[in-house]
Amino acid sequence: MSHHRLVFDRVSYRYPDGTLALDGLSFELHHGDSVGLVGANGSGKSTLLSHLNGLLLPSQGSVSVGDLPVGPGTLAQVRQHVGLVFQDPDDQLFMPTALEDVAFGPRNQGMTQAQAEAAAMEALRSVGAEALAARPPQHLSLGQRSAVAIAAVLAGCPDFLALDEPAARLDPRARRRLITLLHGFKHSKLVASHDLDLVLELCPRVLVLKEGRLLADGDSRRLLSDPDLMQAAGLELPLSVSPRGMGAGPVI
Amino acid sequence: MNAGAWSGLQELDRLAAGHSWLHRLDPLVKLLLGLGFAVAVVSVPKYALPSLAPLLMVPVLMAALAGFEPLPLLARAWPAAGVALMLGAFNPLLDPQRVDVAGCQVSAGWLSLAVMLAKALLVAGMALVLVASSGFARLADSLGSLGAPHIFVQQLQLLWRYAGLLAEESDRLKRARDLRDPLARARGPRLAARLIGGLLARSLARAERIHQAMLCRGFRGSLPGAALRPWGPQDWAALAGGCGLIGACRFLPLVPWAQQALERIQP
Repeated sequence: MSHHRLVFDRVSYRYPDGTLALDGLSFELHHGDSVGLVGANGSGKSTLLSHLNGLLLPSQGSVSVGDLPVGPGTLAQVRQHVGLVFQDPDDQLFMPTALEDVAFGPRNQGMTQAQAEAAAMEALRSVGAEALAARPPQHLSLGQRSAVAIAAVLAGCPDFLALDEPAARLDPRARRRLITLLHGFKHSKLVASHDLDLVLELCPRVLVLKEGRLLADGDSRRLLSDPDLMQAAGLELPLSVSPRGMGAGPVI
Repeated sequence: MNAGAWSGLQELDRLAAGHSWLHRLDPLVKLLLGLGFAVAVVSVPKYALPSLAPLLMVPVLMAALAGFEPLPLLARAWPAAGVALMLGAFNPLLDPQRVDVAGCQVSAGWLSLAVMLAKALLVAGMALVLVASSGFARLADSLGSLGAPHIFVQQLQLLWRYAGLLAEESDRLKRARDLRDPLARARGPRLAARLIGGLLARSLARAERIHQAMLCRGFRGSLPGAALRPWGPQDWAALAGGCGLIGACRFLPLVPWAQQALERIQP
């Protein structure tokens, strides 16, 4: 059974206050895809990400990971296949030390403490944060916490990695390190971001959301360079393709 | 609400990342010593204030062994005094017999209230030293290995984390208020009530997001505890030495002036 396929089939979601956050969304992600998710504030990006591993369940339509429909009976399995990195690492890191936090997922998968710590060290090493293992997360810099939060998700060996605004609040150097790091991952990725230059660098494909609907799905360089589409989505052209950025290629 | 006090408590976990001899001891050893100390303190008779003086040596010595400055750390124990005051507030009325303290006749109730305060501060001070040298989560795990119900241990750990969230959110609210009300003109019970309401809503929302993050990583209602490790010679030595010190402080006349004072104030 392959879990390297993620399917949204006419997914709608309405919040209890009546707000329609997703409206008939359909798309597929495949093994190795690196897909950007862009849209103005309130367009439904975070709500969509919350559907990937069942934090929210569709009001209508269905989400499936491989052959598994995402639903109350499959959440434990689905969450082993889809790793979600939250926008604010402080919402994600809660154990006393970075190592224990990263080992939390593997422990919940049934590993012994020694196995979980070995997996956690490997994940920390993969994000260049092994030196932070013994540090309490609340005493790390924001860039370091972001790296540990990604390691915490990687330690569970997910097939799909979903990241919500991974570069928000990072300084330029930390942002560059993050881009380099994400470039190195072979996971299928869905990256929700307002940082369109980051999306251009990381994701050959992009989904453009507006008011819960899929406005466009295709080649990111083509779509993100389309001024009319960006205008319609409530976005601006990325700096690297806009006259403001003097057409100077990816911003580094 | 004092945000600084809670933030200070959370800082204790940072101190727990140290590498002193005391830090390296098994947390269970320290927990057992802490429980032994608490029993010794509680066993002091209700008017025997001087008998508590030698026991102060135990947390001071442990703090020094951990490389902490004892006084600033133990000074954080003051919230425990509030609890003791609430419990013993009526002692002076309920226990009016007179005793002689340093030549003055005072109500025995005042003396027993002072003893309660001192006991609370000593036990809270010792708890602070334990948390600062082990980390709260490891101490809670040790409590589990002593046979405390798993659900109790887990509630303790979650309560500690929620206290941390509450502290962070209250710090942010307080900062926002102070910056926009530098002359303290708008402060009062109405604003305080609104801030407390906002604080609860914000901390609950934050706790919900953290719970979601835990669910995403396979949390099914049970926090993984630390594995037990066999004790080394230093753990056994520390337990024996610590028990000896606590026993000596409790039962031997180590502080002559305290012993003399005790003999004078027996009612």
